[in-house]
Amino acid sequence: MIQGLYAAASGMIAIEDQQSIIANNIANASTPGFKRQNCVEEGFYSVFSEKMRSAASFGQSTSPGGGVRIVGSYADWREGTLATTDDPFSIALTGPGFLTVQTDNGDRYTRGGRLQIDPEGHLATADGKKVMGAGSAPITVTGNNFQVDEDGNVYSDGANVGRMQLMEFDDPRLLTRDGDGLYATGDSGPQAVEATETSVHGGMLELSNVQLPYEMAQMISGIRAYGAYQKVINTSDESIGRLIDQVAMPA
Amino acid sequence: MIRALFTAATGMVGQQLNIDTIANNLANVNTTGFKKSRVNFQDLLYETIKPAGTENAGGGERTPEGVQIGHGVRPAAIAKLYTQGNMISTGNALDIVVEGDGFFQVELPDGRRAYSRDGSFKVSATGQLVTADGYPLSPGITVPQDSQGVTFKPDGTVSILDANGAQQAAGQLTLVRFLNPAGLDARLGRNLLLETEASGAPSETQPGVNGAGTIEQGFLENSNVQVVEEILNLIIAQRAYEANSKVIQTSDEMLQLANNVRR
Repeated sequence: MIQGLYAAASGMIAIEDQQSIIANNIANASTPGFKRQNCVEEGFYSVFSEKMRSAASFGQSTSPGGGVRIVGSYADWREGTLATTDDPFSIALTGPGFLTVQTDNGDRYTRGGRLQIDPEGHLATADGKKVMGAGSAPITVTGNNFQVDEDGNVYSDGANVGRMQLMEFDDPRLLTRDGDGLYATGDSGPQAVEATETSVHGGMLELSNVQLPYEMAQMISGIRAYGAYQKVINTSDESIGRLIDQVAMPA
Repeated sequence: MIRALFTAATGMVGQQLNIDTIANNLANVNTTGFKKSRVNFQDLLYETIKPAGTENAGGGERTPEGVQIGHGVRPAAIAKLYTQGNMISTGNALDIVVEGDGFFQVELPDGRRAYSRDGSFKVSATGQLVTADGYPLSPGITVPQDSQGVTFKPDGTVSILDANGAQQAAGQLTLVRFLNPAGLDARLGRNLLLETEASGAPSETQPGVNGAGTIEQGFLENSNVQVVEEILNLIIAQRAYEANSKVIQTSDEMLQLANNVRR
């Protein structure tokens, strides 16, 4: 009974985290290159029932669970819709690759979006982080008529001024999110390899892959589960109350 | 408190800014030389509850996924798009247009330079070419009182037809280019832009050189706002705003449920 109380509370906490992830997806419904997140929930057992479960005599245990918790959040890497813009500095990537950008904390990876030329003439993201070219050097663009081709070559006034460094990862699930549309490899992160299956499209933008109806449905099922957990707590509370009031009532 | 509440608030604030920007674009749909703006969104920082690749409790196995919860969205930049607007034929000799990336230079009363794509010039009482607000074009061009016409050549040379019907040189119009026009400062309004650290220094050239564009007389450059595109963006922004408000509503209901745990 008491265990049910804690299990339901853990459920409410897990749903709160889940709703936060959905809220972040919805808030980024118009962020170019954003990849929605899903979360993985897992039931867990108290240490005690875990021990009982592992005892051979119990076999498949039906002992009550300890509750539920979020054990993972993962990106949904599906490609967002490509939209044409009339801005040549909009870049969309198709395929699993990323652009490499330079930050104060080392190289980071992004799925593109709107680029610009910084005051020194380097190709940069909308918030001024330099886009790396081959050999980890920034790309300098001085002329007009900015264009990119499918392989990531950058042209200015028809002359090739560099090639964007496109990277793919052996296991993109291990990438961590850094905010500002950036992904980091971290300490135990995936290996970055030169992209082979990625192409670049200038004058296009990869829209966020968030689909509002799906997020809404997730959110509704979340709040209903939250309500159900609340009922469990109320019921447990009531039962305990009755136990104390009636069964344990002194004569 | 539920994170989702604040996350959705960043989404609503962001969409509000988006709608403000669209409103300004639409309001300026017929403004000469106006360039539309776009909000660039980025996701906000993430709270890492469990990093990816941590060893799981059972032993050496590494979990492939961590738990990271985001905190919403932030506008990274509102940038103007300097694509060419449509040319409108006006037949007015003092209406000129830049076909290319260059900007006209205008001298402000405090001596600063401002830059503009608006080529609807007028002649002031002293015969100078000025903007509709009376700011003189720089380098200055003077049209004598008795002239019968002004001609702008594509390369920026200006000549007048004097009282005797003879062509006379009246000056040379120059344009400036910026490495990053998106970095120009539009705070003055009045179709004027100011140089910033981000735009880079202006480089002055003759029209037709270095991609600055040529001069065409008798035309004005209309705004590059496309109404259909703006309305589409407006619909998307409104729906996104609505979705974020639903998240706030849901979070509120959840808090209410949580409060009802103790009856």
